[in-house]
Amino acid sequence: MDIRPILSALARSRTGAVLVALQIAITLAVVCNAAFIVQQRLAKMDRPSGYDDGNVVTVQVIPLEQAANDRSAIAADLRALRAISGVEAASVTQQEPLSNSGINWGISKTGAPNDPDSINLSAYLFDEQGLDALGMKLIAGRWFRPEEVQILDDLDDLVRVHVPSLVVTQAVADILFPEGDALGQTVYDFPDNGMQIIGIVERAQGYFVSRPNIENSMFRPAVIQNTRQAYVIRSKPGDLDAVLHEVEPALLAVNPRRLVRHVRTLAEVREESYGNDRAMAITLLAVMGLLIAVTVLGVFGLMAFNVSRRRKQIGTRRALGAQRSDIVRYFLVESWLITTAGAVAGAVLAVALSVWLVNTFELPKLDWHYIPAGIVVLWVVAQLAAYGPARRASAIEPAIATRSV
Amino acid sequence: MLKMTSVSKIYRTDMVQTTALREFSLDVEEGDFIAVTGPSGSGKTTFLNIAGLLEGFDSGSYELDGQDVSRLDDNARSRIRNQKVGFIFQSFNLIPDLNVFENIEVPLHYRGMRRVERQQCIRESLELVGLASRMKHLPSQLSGGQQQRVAIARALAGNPRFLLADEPTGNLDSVMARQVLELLEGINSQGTTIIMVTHETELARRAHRNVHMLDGQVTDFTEFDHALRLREEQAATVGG
Amino acid sequence: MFAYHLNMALRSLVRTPGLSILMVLAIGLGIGVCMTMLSVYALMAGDPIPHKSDRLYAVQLDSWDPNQPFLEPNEPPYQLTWRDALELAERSPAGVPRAAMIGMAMIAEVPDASNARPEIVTGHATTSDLFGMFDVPFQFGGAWDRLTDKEAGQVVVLSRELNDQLFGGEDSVGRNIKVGDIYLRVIGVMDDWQPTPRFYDVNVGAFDRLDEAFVPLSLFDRHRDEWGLNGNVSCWDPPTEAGLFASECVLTQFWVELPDAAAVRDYHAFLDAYVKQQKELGRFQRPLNNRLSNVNEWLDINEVVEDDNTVLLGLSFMFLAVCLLNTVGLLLAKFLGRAGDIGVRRALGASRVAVFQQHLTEVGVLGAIGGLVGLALAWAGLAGVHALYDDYERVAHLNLELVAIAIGLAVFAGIAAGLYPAWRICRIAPATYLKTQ
Repeated sequence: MDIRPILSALARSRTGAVLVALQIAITLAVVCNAAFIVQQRLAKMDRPSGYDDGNVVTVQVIPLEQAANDRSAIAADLRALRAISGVEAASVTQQEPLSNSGINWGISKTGAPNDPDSINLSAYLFDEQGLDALGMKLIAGRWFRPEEVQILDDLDDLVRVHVPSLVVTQAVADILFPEGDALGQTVYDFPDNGMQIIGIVERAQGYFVSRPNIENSMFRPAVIQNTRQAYVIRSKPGDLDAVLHEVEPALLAVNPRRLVRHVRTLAEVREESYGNDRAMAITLLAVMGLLIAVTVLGVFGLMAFNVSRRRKQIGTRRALGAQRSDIVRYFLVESWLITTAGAVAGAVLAVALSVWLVNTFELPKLDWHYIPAGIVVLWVVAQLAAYGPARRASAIEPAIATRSV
Repeated sequence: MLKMTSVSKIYRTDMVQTTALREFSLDVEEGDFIAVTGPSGSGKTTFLNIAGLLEGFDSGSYELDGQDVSRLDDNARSRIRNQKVGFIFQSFNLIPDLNVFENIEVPLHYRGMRRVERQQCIRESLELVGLASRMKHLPSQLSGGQQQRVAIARALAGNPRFLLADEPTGNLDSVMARQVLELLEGINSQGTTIIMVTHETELARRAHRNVHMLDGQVTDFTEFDHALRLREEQAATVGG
Repeated sequence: MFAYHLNMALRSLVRTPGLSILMVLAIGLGIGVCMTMLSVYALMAGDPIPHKSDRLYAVQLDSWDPNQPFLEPNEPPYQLTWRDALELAERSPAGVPRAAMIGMAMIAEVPDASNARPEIVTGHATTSDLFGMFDVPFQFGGAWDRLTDKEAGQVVVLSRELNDQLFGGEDSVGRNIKVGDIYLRVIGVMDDWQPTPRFYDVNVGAFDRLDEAFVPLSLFDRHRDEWGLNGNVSCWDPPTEAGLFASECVLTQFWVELPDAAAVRDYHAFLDAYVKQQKELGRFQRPLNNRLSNVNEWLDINEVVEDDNTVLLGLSFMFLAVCLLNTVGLLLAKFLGRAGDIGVRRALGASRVAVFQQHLTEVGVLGAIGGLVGLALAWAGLAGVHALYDDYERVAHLNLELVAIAIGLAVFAGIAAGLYPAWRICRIAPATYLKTQ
């Protein structure tokens, strides 16, 4: 079908068409970029943590009285937790992973204050059951032995008391020792405090889910007494519900004079920490949906208006021999032309918008595949929107041509 | 060529039933120039619509080139309109957003003609109506008479079996009306059949044969002898 | 004349109900989405204490690592060391109100209450000037004084919510709460006080739950090992034997009230003198780099408005643009469809201006109705924001100012959308559409 007459007719009465084409352009630009951001956030939330999220339970314990949580109290807690049926392993630490709160540390190969190769990472303290309690995968070396676990009085002790063993994530090992020989090497956090890497875990994400260094974590065998604790308990598959219910009563049975709160799985901790990302994704999806709906309405409105304004013309065409399908095709082609014009402008706008987002907010650059995908989506919905009016147009009787009104 | 026999059409609404055509019959030979006349409400428009296959009818028969076209489906009717009928409307019915060339092209598109063929046909019919120089003009840039001539060119471009004209000079002043009428006469003298519907008796007299209608029925026929009329006109100019 | 226009406008809208509903929806949707994002953004980026924000200053000292700045290129840390905060509180010039604060958490219970459980209470330990500086309103009682500061009085100021929770909302002044081994006497209950964002300490989320309690800084000093910190601690130099509070770790906030530029200059001089003196003791090895930032500057520095919100705001304006384009199209359709009517009016003597005004009135009314619909949608949208974003509790609501903005924006949008169609329609020559074609 020759589109030139349709094109030239469109060009001569173009206001409505230009308006719709502009709508489509802006919609394409927004939808492409928004979809990309959504995908980025979903990918971010989808990253494996390195832990057995679904089966790991965490709980916070805050003592009411000073010195209530000394080493023997902690040991009693751990005994009680490990005694719960269905518990695979239990360990003690300061703050749960992935909770957007925790300790950042710095280590390097020299420990010198201005070592340019020092890296920033999340610092975890666990006992000998930490590996199993978190469900991590050890890929080199070993985890801590019970005799290596030191009892500290507060966080400052980490500087004073020598805790020589260290387990790091693969990411950390790769950064510090790209040759792959990290195991057995010594690293420093302060000039005279050397620690030996005795083990490497495949993956263990840090405390802060939105930081770029999330894969950089280190583990040290230590327990800080006389302060608040967090216990990490891994349940055997299928026993999660039972374990979840038993944790608080078990701890209160050991000592009721404390606050036991936030009994939840690591998966729930994660979900909460990613709350803003999820909210952003949902909001963007809502805006995308509304935008496409409004644009579809625009296309529909324009086509319906064109049909109503051209009744005489349509009747004349039918009188001159157009079939019903010719009339439908005419309007579908017209709407396709408008959509394509809008799509071309929209592609340019999408790139411009992406550039602005990259420069202003340091978001990643738009993956160009989103643009043709967006164009296809808009083509489809616009044609669907135009189909109704096109069908109605084809039903206009040819006899209209001879009416004098 | 065209044969309507006892065609009747009744319009029904909730309240009222109108008989627009009542046992209407008409025979048209190739090369005829017929005017169907009558006052408003006489059924002329209904006849026009039926003759041009724009509408169906309730009883009777309609044969075109020996083919019974009464009970055809919409697609077949559209095809026949496209190939056999050349419409000329009272208000020209040119598409305002298309230029002259594109307007004439419309029925040729539906015919499925190739581009080169179309260009040929359009050029020829524009020559016939004397508007070859205005090919790129828009209808709004033409006078009423010129627009009607373009409409005639459009009707002729596809070599129809007959022209069907609805008050072709109704919206034109007397000068332009005469031009258009002379054009139609010329076309007819070349062999094209013309069926014209009008309420102006003066206009009707220029045809060879008049069919008078009233209340949906044929009431009268009049034959005009052209040779006689020409002599009368010559006598009128020469004489006093 | 306006009343006539208004009358005709309303009639015209009612005559084409489908089209009018579509247009109102188009405008309403655009306004609704925009106002939702704008409300969140405005409250996040707004001035939390407008009548005083240019007189309150956050203090920054550069006590950081001589080898590298706290933040590139040469930014000092956001907080002060414990020692510096106490020294500045002690030695700031007499007429300058000053507040040294630290975020804290303690476990409190109402003594002798039958069903009371110990609760974690978060808040700040501060010097007494804070209440005057920030114009904190009180429901019952009041703040403590400088004498109590000196004596580390065992007093506490509760938030309205905490008072509701612990004491059922009664006047609890004079009653005690038990924290660990000691009793704190309630000396005041604050009224609704919701500076948004919580500018004085943005470390733990500027939009979270507000402080539930305030205690004297000196009191916190005595119990800092039992009570917990609730904030950010950053160290470049590891704490020594003497511990966190004697180290170079930064963990306190410090604010002063300076009425004019001269006062600012004077205080800068005071800070410079203090730092120079500390340098002689071997501290502050970086070059002099003190900062005084007023409230809005401080909020900028801390980048309190999340990028996500700005992106959403930008996208929502693009959404409004699409809605407006849609409305222009619908208006054009409606007006041009009425061309015959207009032709008659012009023939009967209506001037171009009158026709233009007529149609502008119509779109103005459309905009106003669209604005109301938009407000309803914005309210729903903010409810959605509330549900999605846990820590936006205080940010997701409409106030009077935003409602006015919504209506204003809607009417403006309607008129902007209607200008071109109204102009098109009033250019129609009187007789053009009188003939039928």
